[in-house]
Amino acid sequence: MDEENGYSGSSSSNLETTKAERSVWLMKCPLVVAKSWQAHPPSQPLAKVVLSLDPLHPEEDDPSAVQFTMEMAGSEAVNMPKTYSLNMFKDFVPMCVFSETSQGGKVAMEGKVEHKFDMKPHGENIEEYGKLCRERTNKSMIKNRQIQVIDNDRGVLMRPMPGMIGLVSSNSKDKKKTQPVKQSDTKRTRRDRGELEDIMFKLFERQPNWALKQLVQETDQPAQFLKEILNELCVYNKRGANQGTYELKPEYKKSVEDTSAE
Amino acid sequence: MSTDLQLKSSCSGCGSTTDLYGSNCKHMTLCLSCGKTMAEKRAKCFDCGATLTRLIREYNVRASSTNDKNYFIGRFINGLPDFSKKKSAENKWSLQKDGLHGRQITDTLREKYKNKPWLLEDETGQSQFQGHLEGSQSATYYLLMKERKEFVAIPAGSWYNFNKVAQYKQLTLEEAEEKMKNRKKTADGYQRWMMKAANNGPAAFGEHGKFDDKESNTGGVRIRKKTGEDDEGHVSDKGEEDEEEESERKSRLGLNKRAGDDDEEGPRGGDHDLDDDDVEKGDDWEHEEIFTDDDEAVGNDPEEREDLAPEVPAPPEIKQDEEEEDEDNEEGGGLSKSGKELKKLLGKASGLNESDAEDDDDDDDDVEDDVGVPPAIATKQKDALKEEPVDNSPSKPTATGPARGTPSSKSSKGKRKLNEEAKPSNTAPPKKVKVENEPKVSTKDGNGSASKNSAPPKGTPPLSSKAGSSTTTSGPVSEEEIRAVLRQKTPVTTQDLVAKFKARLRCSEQFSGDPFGLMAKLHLCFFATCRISKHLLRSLRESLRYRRLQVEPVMLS
Repeated sequence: MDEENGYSGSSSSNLETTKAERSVWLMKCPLVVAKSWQAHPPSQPLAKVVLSLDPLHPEEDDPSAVQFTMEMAGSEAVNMPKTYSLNMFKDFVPMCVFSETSQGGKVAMEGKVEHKFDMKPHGENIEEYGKLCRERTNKSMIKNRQIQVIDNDRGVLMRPMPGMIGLVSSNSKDKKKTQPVKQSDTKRTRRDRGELEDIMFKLFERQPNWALKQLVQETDQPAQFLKEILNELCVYNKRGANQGTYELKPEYKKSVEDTSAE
Repeated sequence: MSTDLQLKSSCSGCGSTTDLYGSNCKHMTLCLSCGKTMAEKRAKCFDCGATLTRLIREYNVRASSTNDKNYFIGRFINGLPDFSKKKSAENKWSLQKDGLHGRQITDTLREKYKNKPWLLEDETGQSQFQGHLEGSQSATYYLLMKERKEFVAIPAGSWYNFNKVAQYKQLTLEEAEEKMKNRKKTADGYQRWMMKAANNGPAAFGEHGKFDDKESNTGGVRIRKKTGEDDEGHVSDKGEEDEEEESERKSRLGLNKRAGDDDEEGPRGGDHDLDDDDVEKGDDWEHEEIFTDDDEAVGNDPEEREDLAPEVPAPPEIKQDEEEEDEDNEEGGGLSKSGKELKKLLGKASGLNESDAEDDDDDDDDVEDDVGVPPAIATKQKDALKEEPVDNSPSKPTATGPARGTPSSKSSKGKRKLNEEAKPSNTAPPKKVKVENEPKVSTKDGNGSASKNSAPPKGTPPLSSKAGSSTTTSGPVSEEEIRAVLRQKTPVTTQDLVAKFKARLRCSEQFSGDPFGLMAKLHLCFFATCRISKHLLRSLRESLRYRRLQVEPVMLS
């Protein structure tokens, strides 16, 4: 099998379908059986499947003519039932078996699931099975958690840790730090009127027409305060190329020219 | 475990070697047909004598020897595909994790794609399956595979549900929808490109539909801008404005937005292409227009008057004509022309009139004194006559000194002499005639007060006049001259200023009898030319108000 896989598994994505037609039995296994099988050494057989046939009745008419039983090997578990009857399902979803190698990532088709079985303890060993169930129930009754009364109840445990206090204080400090930054961003303090007028004249020397938003950005002053001063010093252009902008009044322009002349 | 059944090589009844079974007591080996006949006859075992009821076989179950592989189960709800090679020899299948196309699989990749679904594909691509992991299976399953006469038990791993890729077809539909959307986007881009081209060319005005489309788009853009700008404005001016101020600010911002939109769209004809909202904005805009027009109207008048003041001096002929006109006005009504030119200063003029009335009261007192002591009055009159020539004498050398415009100045001085000679002759008539000529007398007294004020600092005037003459040229009074005078003497009185520049003022004859008019003229000059000296203007106005206050208590008392 391994050699065949080695030969044919050249490409990683191709599916090996040489064993596609092989029939596979899918058997639902009780937990006890699974555990014992995992612990079983591989040299000895795990169990024995017995096929039982009733010669008086033909198979086609009665599906129960053929019966399967499984007899367990080994006797590690004391109360484990030795004999199980395999119940065959009549209708199930069509299934197939794939295998993936852990090293090369090769994928292979292993076969189709033709029979699906369910294991049930056989009637002969019912007393042993009863004991097993009783033990299981007793184990589940055991409680894992217990209620304890604290001996040292002087209140030391009730106090918060000193590190926590430090953390809380640091958090509050961080909060305090963030607030003034926001305040400075939102509010703008008014400058002296004379200083602001000087700044405005310099700006208008640089550029004859300014919009209110641009002036607010340049001077960083509240818009209402700027409007008051603009109404005094400037004229608002409502039409023309410089629509929506402020321009210095003529007398101030002349004065600027005079100063430049001087 | 019960003893193992060991089948013999042939049937004990008929000797056949196929379909061999053991008896239920495990002592005989029988074929299927012989078993049937014996059961029907209720035959018994030869060895132990038990009745034959069932035929049995036994198989051993062993653990799997190969531990390299990981087995998993694939459920195909719609039926298993055909994997056998016999039917379709050339057909090949590929099973791989989703996203691992053509990669070399490593441990890290396997762990990464652990929960990814499997893709099962046919070479031709006709049938495709996608296997998703099923998490509900918690039972333990074993696979029993038959090998010769034994079973091999292999534990089964995870379960996967394989479905056909009708899901993929649905995805293809979604892809188609995306393609349709992309087509729409490209169409929009194409339309936008066309709109821009149309705007640039002359065809822009002919196509109305495209305008509508673009306006709708730009409208959306405006809405976004509005929200952004409003938020910014609100944040910046938090807690500093009243509701009315906010409304004004919003309206202004609206105007700014309009300007911005115009810039984006480029030059347009006017308001014809605007939507209803824009029309509303226009209404607000027009409203503000009216307001600003009023402001401009209020502002323009003083500008015009101010412009008149610093005009270039006219040639001498025109000056003579103007002087003649001034004389006519003085003869007619006195303050009529000054009143017309200085509408804004009517309040101050009324103040001046009040002061004149008070002067009249003083004249009445003088009249009473004349009646009481005639010889003393006569002596005072003589003194006044003596003083007048003294005043005339210093003016003459100043005129001759700079040697500027001598004929015009001489003619003006001659006119003044004529006026002065006429006025004393008027004073000579009897008392009744004096009462009739009271306004003239009041004006004369004003001149006298001005001359008296100028008389005490006689020593200093020639120095100041020389300095003024050296620095400046002939013509009307300019800003620089006034500044120089103000800088020389910090505490300067308006009357002193008027006295110094009296001779050089345009229309000097007009204002010779009105010192307050002269001060008003100076106010206009300052307002027109000086931005820096606003504070000085305010102080001058305050001084005027102070004078009014001084006069009023006298009236009350």
